[in-house]
Amino acid sequence: MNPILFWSIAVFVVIAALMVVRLPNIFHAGLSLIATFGGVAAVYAMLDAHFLAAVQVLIYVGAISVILMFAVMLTQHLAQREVRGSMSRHVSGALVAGLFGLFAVIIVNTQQWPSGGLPFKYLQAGDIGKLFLDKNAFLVPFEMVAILLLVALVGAVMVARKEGDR
Amino acid sequence: MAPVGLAHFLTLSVILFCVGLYGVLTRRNAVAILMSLELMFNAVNISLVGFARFMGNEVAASGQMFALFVVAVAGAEATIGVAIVLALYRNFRHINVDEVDLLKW
Repeated sequence: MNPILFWSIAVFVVIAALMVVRLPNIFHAGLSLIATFGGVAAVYAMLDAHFLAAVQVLIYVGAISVILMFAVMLTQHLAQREVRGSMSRHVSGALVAGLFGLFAVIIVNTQQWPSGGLPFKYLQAGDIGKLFLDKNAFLVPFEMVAILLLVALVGAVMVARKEGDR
Repeated sequence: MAPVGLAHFLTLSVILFCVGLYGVLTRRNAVAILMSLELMFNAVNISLVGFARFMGNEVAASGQMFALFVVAVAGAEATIGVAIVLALYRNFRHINVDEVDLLKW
């Protein structure tokens, strides 16, 4: 793995994520969210998870960001700025997130991790499909996810429709 | 430069998770909170795929499969979340979570 490539992608992802949480205009935050998703897809590709990188582009960049943009456009004017919270809320939020991050970074960096010398079997899309439909592997969770997505679809329609619509 | 190992990816994952957490805690717009949640999902996925890459063969398949399940659950979450936001907007004409207090008494 190329360190320069990793560092440029990591800096890109973190800056785009900071723009998502800090930009006052929600529409711009959504655009940088798409950039973040693209950067994460690049991270997956760097980790030899090419199928997941493609799924990330299809589902996150293609579908979830479009749903969120729909929500932005249906609920406010594009030029409208978010009412910012009080200063104490930002200080306490940054404190909580920063302390958690500090401890997690310390724990991660004091462990001895295998240094990539372990054998690694590259998973092709066909292997993933076989694992999904293998009853000794992931068949049951796969079917559960199918039910979950169906329930989410019907539930979203039920929640979002007008009262009294039949 | 030091070679890139598992710790690098886990650190990236932690930083992304914390940025998302900060967004969830400080944003007041419900859609922005959903966006920050998606950041946190992505951070967890990075760590899962990182473990899958570096921890050897037994873990390789499970890590990536778990990440795929997380993607599916995140899709369901985003759909339901947006539906709730639209219902909120219909009833309140705004989606500022500070002023949505129907369940408080």
